[in-house]
Amino acid sequence: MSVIEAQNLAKVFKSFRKSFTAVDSISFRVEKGEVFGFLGPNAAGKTTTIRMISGISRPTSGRVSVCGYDTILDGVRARECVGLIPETPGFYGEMKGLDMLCFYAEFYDIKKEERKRKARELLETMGLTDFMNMRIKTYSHGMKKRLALASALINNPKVLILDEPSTGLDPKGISLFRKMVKDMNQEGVTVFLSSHILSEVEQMCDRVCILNKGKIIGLDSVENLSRKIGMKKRINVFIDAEGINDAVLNSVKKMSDVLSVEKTGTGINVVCSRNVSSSINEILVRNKVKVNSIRVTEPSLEEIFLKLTGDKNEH
Amino acid sequence: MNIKGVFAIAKREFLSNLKSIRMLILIVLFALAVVGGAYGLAVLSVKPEMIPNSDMAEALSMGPDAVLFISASFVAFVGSMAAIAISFDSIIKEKLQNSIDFLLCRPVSKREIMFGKFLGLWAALSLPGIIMLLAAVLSVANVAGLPSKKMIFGFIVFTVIFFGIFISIQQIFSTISKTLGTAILSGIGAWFLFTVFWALVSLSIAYLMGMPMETIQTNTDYNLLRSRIDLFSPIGAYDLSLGVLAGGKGIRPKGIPYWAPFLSLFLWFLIPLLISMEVFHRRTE
Repeated sequence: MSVIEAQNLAKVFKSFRKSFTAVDSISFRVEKGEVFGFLGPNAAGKTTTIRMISGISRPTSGRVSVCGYDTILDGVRARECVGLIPETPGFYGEMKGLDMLCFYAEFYDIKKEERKRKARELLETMGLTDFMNMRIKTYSHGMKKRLALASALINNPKVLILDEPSTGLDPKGISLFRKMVKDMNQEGVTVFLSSHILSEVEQMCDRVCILNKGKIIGLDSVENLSRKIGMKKRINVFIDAEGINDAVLNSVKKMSDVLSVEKTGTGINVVCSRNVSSSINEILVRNKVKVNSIRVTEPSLEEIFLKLTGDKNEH
Repeated sequence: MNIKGVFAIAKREFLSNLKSIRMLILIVLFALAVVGGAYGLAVLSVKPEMIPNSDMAEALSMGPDAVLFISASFVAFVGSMAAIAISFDSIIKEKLQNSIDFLLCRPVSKREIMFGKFLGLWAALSLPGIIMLLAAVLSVANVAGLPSKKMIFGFIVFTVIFFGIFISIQQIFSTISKTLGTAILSGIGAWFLFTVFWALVSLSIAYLMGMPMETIQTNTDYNLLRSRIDLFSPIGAYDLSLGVLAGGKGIRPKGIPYWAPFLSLFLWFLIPLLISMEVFHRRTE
């Protein structure tokens, strides 16, 4: 069942003399329970698409539905299903964290006594219990991000839309944030994640949609995308430096499917077109090289992204 | 309509404005201009010999209703300024601090958001406003006698409607402006247009029509023309509406049906409000 369905979605911004197509007739579906990654270089149309999905902005043409409700014709119902963290979430600085969550809870069908309980519960989950009666303007950036997540979850959304959620967070904050999102997903929340951090999307998402200049240029799982664009697998073999000699290196170089062999500080890095790690291991063992580890790395999303967007400097 | 959402927005807007420093300043201004002005006029009404202007003395001598009617000029002057002062940043601030997206993604329509904001601002200004107006009525009653019930009713109700007009006008500017400076300057421009410049509009038209400028204030045709032109200004509509209630020579508007000021005031209230809702809806697309 599709939770988000976009059909020929387009957004054109018009000014007096010019018009700019931010999103150019894109179509995609996000299935229930999925973590859907949304990638693209700057000005690819990601935030514009998110604004259309969350009902903030009206498409110039095409349509998008959330939980079966058209975001324009039945926008209020569609927005009832959505929890959004905008790219740069802003708050009423003079309000207290708890009050702000209670304020947002008032928009939904949540009973008065339930609102405060739910808000407290969310603040506790986000580690903000000690700060709930402090004004938001005193919160740190990380605390504001967690508060944004709490405010997006106040209505128990079926779809959580995150626009660059890790921006400005420290590594600990990012890790905590990802864990929270994963937990939400395990509880059945569909996650729509737009991010510049490719490793984040790679780790978290079931499928990825790559957008460039308003158009979809890739839409599939990372594995399928790499297969579709014919990217080669890369094998890294790390071996003990004492046992490595030129004969071993030459033997590996001569193997079919091996593209290149590069010496590293403690071992070698072999790039090959097919997973031949077991054959390499055999050669190493035969030559009495102590193998500490063999790690096989699939093509990264970064490589796929760069190949599809065709510009290494854009993102 | 998501009543809960509209009420939530209105409540937040009401409380944050009521507790703001600017509201304290406005209350002081109100007290000085509205209560002080009404009291001063009431004193003059019982001591007409203190007034050098004979027209003013004649008008004030018509009783407490006339005193309240004339003191409404202070209300119009300060009330419109107060409405602009509390609402100039209602939308632009949300845009600048990025809190607008959190609001727009809630299950409430954009027109409802604007309506909720309007209600909150209107209530925030009207609450201290009504207290000050009652204080003004009491001060007039204490010095010059109790004004008629219909005049007290009109003085309070029309003033509250008048606040709403300027709040809606300012909300339009707050929505279309890109900076706080532009928003407040546009509001000041509107305030200047209706409080100061509007008199020049009728004078200019009278001049173009060839009316003699030397005796313009006593010219019947000019007064008729001014009443009609004033219907197109919120301050004019407010003033004329109170003039109908106050009655009396020189106060009751001439040459226009008695219902025209009320209709004008109502339309001035309704049309900017609807425009502000529509502008917000379109500008956040």
